[in-house]
Amino acid sequence: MDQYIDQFKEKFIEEASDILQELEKSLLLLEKNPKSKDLIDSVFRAMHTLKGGGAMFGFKLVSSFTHHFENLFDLIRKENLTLTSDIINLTFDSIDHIKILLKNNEILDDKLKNIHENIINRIEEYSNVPKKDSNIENKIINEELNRKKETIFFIGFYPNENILLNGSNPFYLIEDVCKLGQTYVIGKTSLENGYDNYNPELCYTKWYIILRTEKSVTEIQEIFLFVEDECNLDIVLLDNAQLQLNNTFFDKFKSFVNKNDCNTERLVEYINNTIKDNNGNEIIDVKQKNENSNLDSLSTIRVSSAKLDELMNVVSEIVSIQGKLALFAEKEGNEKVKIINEELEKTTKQLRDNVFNIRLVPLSTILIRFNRLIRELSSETGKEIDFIAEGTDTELDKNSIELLVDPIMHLIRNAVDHGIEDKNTRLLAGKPQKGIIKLKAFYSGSNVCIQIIDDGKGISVELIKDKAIELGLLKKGEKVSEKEILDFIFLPGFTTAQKVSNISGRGVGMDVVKKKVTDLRGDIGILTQPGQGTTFTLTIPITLSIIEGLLFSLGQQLFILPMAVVDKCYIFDKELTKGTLNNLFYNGTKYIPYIDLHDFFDIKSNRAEVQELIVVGFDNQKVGLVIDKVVGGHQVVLKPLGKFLREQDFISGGSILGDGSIALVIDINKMIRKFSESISGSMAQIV
Amino acid sequence: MEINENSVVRTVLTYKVNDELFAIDVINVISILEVCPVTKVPMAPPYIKGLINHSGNILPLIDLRIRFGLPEKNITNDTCIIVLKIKIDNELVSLGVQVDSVQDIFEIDTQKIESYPSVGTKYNSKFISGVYKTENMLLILLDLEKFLSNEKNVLLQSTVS
Repeated sequence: MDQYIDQFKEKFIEEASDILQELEKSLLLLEKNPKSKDLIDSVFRAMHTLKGGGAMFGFKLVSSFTHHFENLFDLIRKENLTLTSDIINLTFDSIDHIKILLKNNEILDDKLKNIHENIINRIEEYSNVPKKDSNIENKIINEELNRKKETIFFIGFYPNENILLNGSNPFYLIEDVCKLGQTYVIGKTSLENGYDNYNPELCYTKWYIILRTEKSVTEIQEIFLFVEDECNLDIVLLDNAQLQLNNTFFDKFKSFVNKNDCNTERLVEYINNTIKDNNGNEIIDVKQKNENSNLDSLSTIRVSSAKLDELMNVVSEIVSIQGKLALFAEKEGNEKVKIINEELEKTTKQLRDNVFNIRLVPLSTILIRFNRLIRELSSETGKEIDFIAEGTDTELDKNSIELLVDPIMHLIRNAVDHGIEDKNTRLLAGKPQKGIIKLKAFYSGSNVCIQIIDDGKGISVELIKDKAIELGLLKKGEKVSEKEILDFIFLPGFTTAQKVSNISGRGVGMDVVKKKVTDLRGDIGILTQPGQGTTFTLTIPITLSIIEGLLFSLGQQLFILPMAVVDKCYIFDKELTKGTLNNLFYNGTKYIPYIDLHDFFDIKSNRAEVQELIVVGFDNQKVGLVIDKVVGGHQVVLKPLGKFLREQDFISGGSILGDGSIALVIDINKMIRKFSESISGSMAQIV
Repeated sequence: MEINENSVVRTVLTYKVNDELFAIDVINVISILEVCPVTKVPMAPPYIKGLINHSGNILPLIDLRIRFGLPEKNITNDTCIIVLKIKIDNELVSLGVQVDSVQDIFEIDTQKIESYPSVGTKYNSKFISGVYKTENMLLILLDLEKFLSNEKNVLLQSTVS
């Protein structure tokens, strides 16, 4: 029986941490909007749940402690007490305390005991004075949440007939448009000459799109950038009044489009007219929306990540079995088998994408911690800071997200401490008194970019340069780019801070940030403008387990390089390397050092008659790898090699190919490092 | 080596390396494979033959002969790969182990397991949890978990031979 109770306890702790997180979220919102009854209620409910759960599973301290709190918020709820920023602070302290209590169910040391009693006393103080005090109220910053401005566009996309001949796929374009926001798309195909003269290579369809988005016209235009010459494109900003994008409207719109021969003008006119008719229904719609969002939060389930991993394994297995079938179908040439294989391929791909999607979680799950951090730092340093988060629904692999918390926290801490100036300096510089720290996330190809932007004083390139010279990293008068100078701050122990503060400046950190980001196969970049602020951009692959790779052969075996590092491929001509020392390859413009992988990996089998060379980017340098033959691009499902091959860390994993064989995925940074170690000396100047 | 009055029967899989009979608990055995294509890993230690694809998972393949400190032997019809799941340094690890041949499934009485003398024997007793004698054969219970977790210098043959 005991073990069951332990299990329940674990569950409770898990649940409690979720509740606490929600609580923190509500509190931060409350701070901005202290009168919101809904929020106060939700805090009260959270406390109540904690109290009940705590008592049930033997967390007596948690239970009794939250009881005090529940009382306090009950008073607030009944409007016998006004919520003040002091109370909010106290609540934050208490949440931290509850977290500690959850870990140790008994108070063993005196220090903790003091804190415990101290907080309870503070709570009691408030609860016993149920008087309204209107002065304190003013202390609270009452600020409405900025809702992003959304606008509605009408997009008429009228491709020329031969758009398909150039390999453009209108569907992809439309898909991209759909990603910008809420969309409604109607395609209208007109075969003027009937099916007899139908030419499957031509495009007979026009598309009408209604898009509700926060994006600008330019961003929409960008999507169609490459087909500009092959289509007529109209983008019209519709009346900004609330257009009801609901089914009734769409049905009407659709029948209108189908009945009439439409051009943009007519449609825009039609839509604008409809808007005027529709204004009455708005309130109902909003209500519906709220109910829907409630449903959304309920319809999630908790699954252990081990189960997901298992599922992922099974799916990869299916993918490789399907690969086998594809190979077989290709060989046998049986049409039926081919068709079945194609169907299977489609479904497996879908299945795989879906499963990988499950592992993705939005950035908003970790946002709350940054909110709190800024709040704390703000009160610690006396700097007023607005924290703005954009694109927090951007999703990343769960593992990556968790590993990103620390680096982002660190960057934020730096931004507050070094970036944002104090009030007076800001006012003198003509900036608003409040500093702004912005966290912005967005997709960029198969990567996610996360930017931490501050509007502080920026990083002084000169200061870093001086420091680098002082530390002997740089010679005086040596010419280096600004980027190279900025990169110095990622070196361990490098700091330009004159004094070490509580928050940062010890020179510990930026190197760790860089390391953590590189561990996720990501990259970090800095942009800074003196007086204007600094932007750190973290570029992280969406998932760690699928990468785009370049397959190449070396002896009997296949290897994979992440496509991201591949620069160019050449035919390796020994003649071109003649007369140079230390394995240098001349690509027509400059010399590139190269590594002969046959030698480096000690592969005994014969070389290809004509070898090829892949140039890869490595730490802003280029290095060539001499291999046998480039096979082609390949979607790699990366699998770990396990602990036995830990020493071989220049192989980041393996991938199972269609025929069941294994290709090794090379981690180029570690490989070149290993190479330079093994050669040490002759290669050292390159790396 | 623990002898417990309550534990009676253990089911083991027996296999041969260099004509010596070894045994492993069947609980740890996932499957037995024929020799399959192996992907070599550059710069890996010689006892790691490479990687194999076992139903979608990539597993390291360890040649027990080389790990024992014996010379490599050509693959025969009897050569087999035993896929194991064992705990190494408190971490469940799946791996393939190449042996000369797989023999039989066997039930042994735990109370009859004898300890392996630590002096003057062919093998390093550190890695042997016991021996089991039947009328016509001698089973060596190799402690694979200990044996494989030791990173270096794990020649089975003890220096005192």
